[in-house]
This record gives sequence, C-alpha cells and structure tokens, in this order.
Amino acid sequence: MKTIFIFIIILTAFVTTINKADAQKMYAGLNLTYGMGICRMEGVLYSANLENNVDTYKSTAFSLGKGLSSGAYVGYMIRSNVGLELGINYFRGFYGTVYSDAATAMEYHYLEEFRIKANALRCVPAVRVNFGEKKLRTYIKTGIVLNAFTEGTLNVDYHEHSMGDSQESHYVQKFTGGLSIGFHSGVGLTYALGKCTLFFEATAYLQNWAPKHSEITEYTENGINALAVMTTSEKEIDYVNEYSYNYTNPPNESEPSKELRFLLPMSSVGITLGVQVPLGK
Amino acid sequence: MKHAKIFWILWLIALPMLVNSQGFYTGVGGGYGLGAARNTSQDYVSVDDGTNVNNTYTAKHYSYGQGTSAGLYAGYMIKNGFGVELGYSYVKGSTFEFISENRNSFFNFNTKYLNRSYGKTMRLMPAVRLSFGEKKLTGYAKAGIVLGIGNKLTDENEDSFSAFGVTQTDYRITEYTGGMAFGVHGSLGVTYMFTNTLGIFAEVGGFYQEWAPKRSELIKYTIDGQNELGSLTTYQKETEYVDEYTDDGSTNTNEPDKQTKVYFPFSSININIGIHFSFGKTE
Repeated sequence: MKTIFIFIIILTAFVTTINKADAQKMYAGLNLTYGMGICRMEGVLYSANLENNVDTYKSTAFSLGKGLSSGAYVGYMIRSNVGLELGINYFRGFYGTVYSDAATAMEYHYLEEFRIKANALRCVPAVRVNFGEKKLRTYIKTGIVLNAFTEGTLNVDYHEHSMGDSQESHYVQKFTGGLSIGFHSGVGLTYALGKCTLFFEATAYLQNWAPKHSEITEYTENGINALAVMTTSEKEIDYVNEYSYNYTNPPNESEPSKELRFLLPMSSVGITLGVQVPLGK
Repeated sequence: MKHAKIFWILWLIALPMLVNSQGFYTGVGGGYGLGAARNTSQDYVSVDDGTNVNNTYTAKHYSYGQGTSAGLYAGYMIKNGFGVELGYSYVKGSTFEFISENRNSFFNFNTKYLNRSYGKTMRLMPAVRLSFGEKKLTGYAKAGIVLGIGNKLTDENEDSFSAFGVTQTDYRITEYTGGMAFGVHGSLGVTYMFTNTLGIFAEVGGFYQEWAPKRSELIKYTIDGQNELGSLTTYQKETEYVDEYTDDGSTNTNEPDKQTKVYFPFSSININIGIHFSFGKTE
C-alpha cells in the first residue's frame, strides 16, 4: 500500500506539471520482476557425522537481491526514441541460508541455522533508448536505484537433542535504516497489442546495503520468551563507521551497543514482465 | 598481461580491414571504476597501557573491480541505431590495506598484522548497442554480459611480533587464480564525431561481477627475510576451492588442501573516455 501511495503522489505531481502537448509523449507501466542473487557473499553449510568422524562442507552463496518485486513506472519521451522514466517497486526478498552447522550421532542431534532476507522500496530513475518502429521493439534502460525503507530479517534457530533431552532457541533480528544506492540496467523487447504494449526484459540491479540499526525482536529458549530479561545493549545494535571500546569505562547497558557498519549484498539479475500504456490521447 | 597483448595486436591488425567495411565501428578507451557491490572488512587497533585498554574498530569496504581500466571494442550496426559488439577491457585493481594491531606498553609487547590485497581481471563484453541522434553528437545505451577471464587476486600478509626488544616478521604472498567470473553490464554514453569516421566518446557503466577462484597458492613465505617456502608441504601451500568436500581427518600432504568456495567482489561503476571510429553507415 505504501508503494502505491508514494507512486500515486509522484505520478500526480509529474502529470500536473506538464502541458497537453507534452502529455502525448508520456507513458506508464506496471511490472513484475523475479531476481536471482548476484555479486554474492559466500556461506558454508557444515555437517558432521560423529559416528564415522566424517565432516561435510558445502559451499553456499547469498544475495539479499533474490526475490520478487512489483511496481509501476511513468516516463516521458524527450525524443522519438529516448525517454526519461521513474519507477517505484516494492521488493520482497526470499530467505537465503547464510550458515548452518549440524552434527548427528546415535542419540545426538545438533543443528544451528542462520537464514536472512530483505524487503525494500526501490526508486528507479532511468534513461530509456528504444529501437524499432513497428510492433516489435527493443530497448535498453540504464539508471540508478535507490532503496528506502529497507528491512532485513535474520532468523537463527538452534536445536540440540541428546539422550532424550532437548534444547531449543530461536531469535529474530531485524535490520533497518540506511539508504542503498546502486546501478540499474535492463534490455528488453516490447510487443504492441492495440494501445497496450507488453514487454519482457532482462533486468539487473547492482547494489548493496549497510543497515544502520538492528534489534532482536523475538527470542525464545525452549519455547519461553527470553526477550524481557535482555538489556537494550544485548537487543539493539547501532552500526557505525568507527567506534572505540574502553574496558575500564564500558558502554551503558541501557543504550544500544555499537558494531562496525557492514555491507550486505542486494544485487540481482532477473526477468521482468509487464504492460505499458501511453498516457496521452 | 599475455592475453591483453593478444587482444591489442588483433585489434591493430583488424583496424585497417574495418576502414572499408560498411556499418562497422570500433573504439579504444580507458577510465576509472569505483568499487560497487562491495564487501566489508575492518581495521582494528588495541592499545593497553596496563591500566586502560582501548580498542578501536574502523569499517573498510572494498571491491577488486575498483581501479583503472583500458580496453577496446568492435561492433557492427545491423540497422541504423541498432548494433551488436564485443568489448574487451583490462582492469588493474586498486590495493586495499587492512591492519590489525595490538600495542601493549605495559608488557612491551606489540603485534601487527598487515594485509594488502589487489586483483586484476580481463572483461569480455558481448553487448547490444542502441544509439540515437543523427548529427555529430549521438547518445547510446549498451547492455550485455561480462565474462571475466585471467582473474588473479594477490594477497600479501606481513605479520610482525615484538616483545622485550625481540622482533620477528613473517611475510606471505598468496595468489588466487582459476575460474571465470560471470556478470552483466549496462552503460550509457555519448559520442561526438569530428569527421564521418573519427570521434570521441564518454560513458558511464555498471559492471556486475563476482569471482570464485578455483585454487590458491602460497608463492612467498619468509621469516625475518629467510625463505621458508621449501619447508612447507603442498597441502600447506596450495588450496582448491570446491562446492563440497568431506573431511575424515586424514591428510595427504602431497595434495592441495580443500576449502569451500570463496567469492571476491569485482563489480564497479566506471567512467570511460576514448576514441571512436565509425565506418560506413551512421549510427
């Protein structure tokens, strides 16, 4: 809803500032993108068979850019084949496993798993160059991408079962804040169907994200809520470019702790399907 | 560098042949790329005077695609405004330095771990080019894939330890090689033609590239300047990076170690300028 609301405001502002002649050159569209993660970071899936002493290591890699996005755009053709456009997309990421550690033996099982995803609002100003005059056209788009309201979610699950005794814990850490700026490009084909145009595009986003803050929002141990006994410094972290820790004068526990700012990968390549319509008569 | 020379020689041989070819274009240029889609590391300094311990952490971000690049391209305009081309560029990455240091004045004990790393890659870039404008000044957009070949990452580590006036310095260089880097790229540029054939171009482009090397090798290892490489086994010097491996506790010292894949960032946002040659049809 927030995406649609923001887009309507931008679209209204855009449309009201141009005259009727210019309106002939305007267009708008809706799109749906599936992105696969690229420019990823590595992770490891580790499992140990304690009965025969064989450890297995599997390589994994993740980017928070993996997921679905849907949105809308509006554009203006400044020449017959060159346009400027602005898109707004809501990106909903899929979970990726960053790390897992497991061990099995008779009467013993252990598993620890870290899974992460992100959602974001993407603002995509771009230049579009079209080629072709008939029903089937080619185009290339290039621009920048600005992510706002990005929220990352880390789920950590721990389970240990030994000789009939089980220990379980689960926590959810939410990462927020920070603007992610990146680069966007796409190459596509359009097919005219009456006034509408259908399009298919290979889309790429090159970006990463440095959250400013995180907070543990859920923490259970053997099903019991353990969040209430945690201090603010245990639950909340502010991410900064530089900090010092003085052992003789440690930070206040009623304030968020400080850790170094880090970059999470949010790049993706994928396919986009959509429909475009002219806004003028 | 050998691959780079081959590309330049082929281009110089092909250039006179292209002069009379309708619809062909080519160009040569270079520029600088800012690191994009970077990873994070840190500097760490711990100071202990016996009564007070203060640790300082500083975030550092890096992509080995950051640095200077030079290259060339050649293409064919299939129709007016629509072309296909193949580009090549050699990227010499910037050097990144990370420090981890402990200074203990109470026990007169200091350690300093200095890490320097830099990468290089050659980008092969098949692309589609769409251009607009009929006169001297034309704009264009390009999009395509990137194949990173001849990738190499050099990792230097200098570890110094000093206590009670005694100092030791270990120095190691590890090279990561093998494997192709896949990615995509897109760029936007303008061309200004002085004559029908000769012009200049300026463009901004994004290169999305990650690289997982296949192997690494310790190529230099000294302790206080003395070569210690000969005392190491193959297992200690070489590592192969694989999707999956098992470890049953046994080790063959004559074979490389095995580790899961590591991914190095090679993405960048580049600004390039250069000379453009256009033959025959206008773009």
